[in-house]
Amino acid sequence: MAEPAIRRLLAGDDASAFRCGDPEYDLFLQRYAGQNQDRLFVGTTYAALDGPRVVGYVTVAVGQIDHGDIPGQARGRLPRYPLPVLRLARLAVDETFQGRGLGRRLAAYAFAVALQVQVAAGCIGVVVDALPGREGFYADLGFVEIELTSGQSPIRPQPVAMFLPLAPVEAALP
Amino acid sequence: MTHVTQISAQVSASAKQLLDEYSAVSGIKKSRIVEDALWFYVRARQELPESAIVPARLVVSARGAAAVEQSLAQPPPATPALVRLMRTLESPDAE
Repeated sequence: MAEPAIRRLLAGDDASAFRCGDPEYDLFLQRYAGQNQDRLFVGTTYAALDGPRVVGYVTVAVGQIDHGDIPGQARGRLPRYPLPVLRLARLAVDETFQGRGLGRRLAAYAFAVALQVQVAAGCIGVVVDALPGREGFYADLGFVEIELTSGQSPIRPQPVAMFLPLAPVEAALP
Repeated sequence: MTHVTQISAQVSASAKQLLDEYSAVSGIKKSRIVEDALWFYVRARQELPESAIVPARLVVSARGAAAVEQSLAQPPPATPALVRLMRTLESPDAE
């Protein structure tokens, strides 16, 4: 059986039967991912397709890490200007494809997109919104938790923001 | 003439700096930038529910800033798990 191909979500993709186990993630794909991407340009969704059917997706958005008003000394050597990042905001796999490595492929795809953004527009790393219980998966990849004072994900239960610079991602390319 | 009024708001120093710099570079009046930004913001909120919007600005605490700084100053090596993950780009079966 061929593995699902991953590419940018298109208007004709069939997400109507997508069920990942979390209705909020299903609804986002079915109702908002398209307009988020094609009308408002505030995020892009990459879909894994089994024929015309979407069986997994990852949504990314450009963002920036800002030090806010941390006093100079506490800020350390973090620059005064905002640091561009790619935020991996949502990743979900249909129940029929769970446990087959598709979520890992979608994550790798998003990291590869971050490397493209780095070249095309500037990007220092990836921020993931790790769902409670999934922090260990991202920690194994090298991500570290970053405490935020604003800009937390609106998803509930609230994810943990974690950061990985792009140098190790580039080094890990096949 | 459109009726205009005045508002006052407490904002972060970095937001004020951004406004000042963008105004200086673009030549657009600060009042116009604020008004346009507000319309865009409200429009986006009306079209998408809160949960569907990914905040673009992540403001880190002092502890968060230290974690980012440390990661950038001394990037970690690619972990075996990351190498395995990125290998799936080459072959979906590589796990």
